[in-house]
Amino acid sequence: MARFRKNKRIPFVRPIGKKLPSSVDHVTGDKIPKSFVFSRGKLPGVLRQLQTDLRKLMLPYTALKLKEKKRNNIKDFLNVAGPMGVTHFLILSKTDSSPYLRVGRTPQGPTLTFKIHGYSLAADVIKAQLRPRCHKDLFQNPPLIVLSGFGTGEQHLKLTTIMFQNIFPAIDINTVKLASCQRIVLLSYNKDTKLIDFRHYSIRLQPVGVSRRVRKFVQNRQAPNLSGLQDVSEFLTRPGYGSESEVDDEAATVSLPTDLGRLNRASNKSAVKLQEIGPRMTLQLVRIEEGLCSGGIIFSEFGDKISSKAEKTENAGEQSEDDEEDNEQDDEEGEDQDDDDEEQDDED
Amino acid sequence: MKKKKQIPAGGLDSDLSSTIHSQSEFFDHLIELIPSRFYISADDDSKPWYQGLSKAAKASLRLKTKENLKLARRNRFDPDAEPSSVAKLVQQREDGESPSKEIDLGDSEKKSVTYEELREKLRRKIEALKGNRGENRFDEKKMRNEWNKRSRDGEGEGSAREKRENVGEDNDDDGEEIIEYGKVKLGDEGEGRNSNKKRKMSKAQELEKAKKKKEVMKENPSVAEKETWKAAVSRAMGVKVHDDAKLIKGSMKREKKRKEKNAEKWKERVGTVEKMKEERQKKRRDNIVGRINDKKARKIAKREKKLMRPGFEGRKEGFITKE
Repeated sequence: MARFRKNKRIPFVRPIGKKLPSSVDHVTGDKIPKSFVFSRGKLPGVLRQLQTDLRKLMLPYTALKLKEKKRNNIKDFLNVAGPMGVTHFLILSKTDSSPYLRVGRTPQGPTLTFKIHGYSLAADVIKAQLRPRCHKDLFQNPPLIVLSGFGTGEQHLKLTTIMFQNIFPAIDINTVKLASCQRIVLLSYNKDTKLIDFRHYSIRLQPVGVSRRVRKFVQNRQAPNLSGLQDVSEFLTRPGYGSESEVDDEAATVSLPTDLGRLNRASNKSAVKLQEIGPRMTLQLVRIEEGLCSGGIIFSEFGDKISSKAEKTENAGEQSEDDEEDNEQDDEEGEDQDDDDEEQDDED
Repeated sequence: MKKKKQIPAGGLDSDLSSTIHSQSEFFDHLIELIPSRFYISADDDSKPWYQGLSKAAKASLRLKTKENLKLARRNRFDPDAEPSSVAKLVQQREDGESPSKEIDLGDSEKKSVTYEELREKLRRKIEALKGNRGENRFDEKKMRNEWNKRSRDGEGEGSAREKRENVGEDNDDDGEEIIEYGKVKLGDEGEGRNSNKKRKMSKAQELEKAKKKKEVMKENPSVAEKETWKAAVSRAMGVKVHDDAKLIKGSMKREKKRKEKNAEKWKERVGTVEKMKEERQKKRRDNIVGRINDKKARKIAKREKKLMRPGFEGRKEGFITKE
């Protein structure tokens, strides 16, 4: 029997995962922001995991299986981003000191550079939990975002909030379905340490005031074992010890406007339970640049002299550090007092 | 019968009044049976011209009518409420109209008197805005946050009055725990937008603007800083900011080239159309001429066929011997 071989030579087409959903939101009419998450330079395995975690976080409006090659520049990504309607780039990179995360807006938007002080992978977070839950369409809807502590009015914080608020699509109050709000991203800024905590939770609603037995029965729909009981009423009214988490304060309960599943009925109280999924990061805003990884620096946290070797790991298409220093000289603004040191250093 | 018509001891008046009363009640009862819409004309001014509105406005109007219908149905079937009657509706109408009418009259009088004052106010406001540009931004941001918080129903989930109050506590002046949420779309914003839409400036105008900005920025560093931050913020929000003269020039050049290319293509198209037309016409003419010639040749051939006898070569052309 002849062996059939694939004699066709298929040219390498960069497969970009499943088809991205449409560019324009049907409901609001706005453009839906989409993102690319990729890395520059060689990353160790743990950081590659972090990259996949971030990609899952940004679902569904991101390329889950984006393949990048070593020779790709940011310009290549920009060229692809235009026709596909991609608006944000999340770039991971690593230097000797620590990994960095850059969040930038295409095509010429500002770039925020964050230094990652510490991170935990999603797999580790889930392993540490006693009962991890992952709903099957957990990643089919974009997450909500909550920013806390950013309101002090400083320019760079304002820009950070605006940037993050626009990474995820807007929610139309009139038409949003409760069932589609399943994830939430929390960013909280600590003024003293200037660190931003990044957390990612899944939202679960549990009816309040229903005894545990009844709730389990409705959830699992399994016939309970009534052999030891005299009467059904014993089953329903038996005072079982409630779980510790049942003692919720009023702040965490809401009354739903619509039904959500079999358990949570409209205008009944339900408790909102958050369970952590996804990566956990501690970020520090280091720099804000005017362009996409280029352009003048409009904010710099430290007066750190950025040496030409550190920070950026490689790549021809990228702006080298020398250019950056030149740009610093050109228009150096910043609200940090350490700018003086930086300017002294740069004026060689 | 006469007995029934006996005048009671109280006198004619009381009897008459009671009968009048009962009769008027009967008539009122009859009137109440008529549905009120035949009775009270609807205010046509309250409804704007439905077909001329924008999509967002239409959607919100539809929502409102739905809600009104629901409310009306509830009120109709509410066992505790008093059954509404036409008389009540008429009274409501009157009460509703008269105070508004009074206000209208008052306003129209005031308007003509204080036009000058309004102009002054406007001027003052413009100057104030110009002066406090930097400070205002912070206020606007705060107001926007509060607006988001107030209308945002607990991060998109069911509305929770308790949550709103908690958020209100957080938004203190010490600014410690200000919580902001993602972008929220409110249904009412779309109606105001249509009038505020900016016209796109032509590229030449943008170029001029960019150049001027650059000059101003070179001279004045604080203005430069403000402008860069403003540009960064609007870029982060998705607004396209054209402030680089080189890029604008590049795009102008590209546009010109595209236009030239298109003009050339058009000329080519017209040329080919002409050429094809010519070809076809020529072909037709040739065919016609050819047909005529064919006909003639056939006739000649037919004539000559008769003379093609064996032994002869056709029509004699002349004498054999030369003369």
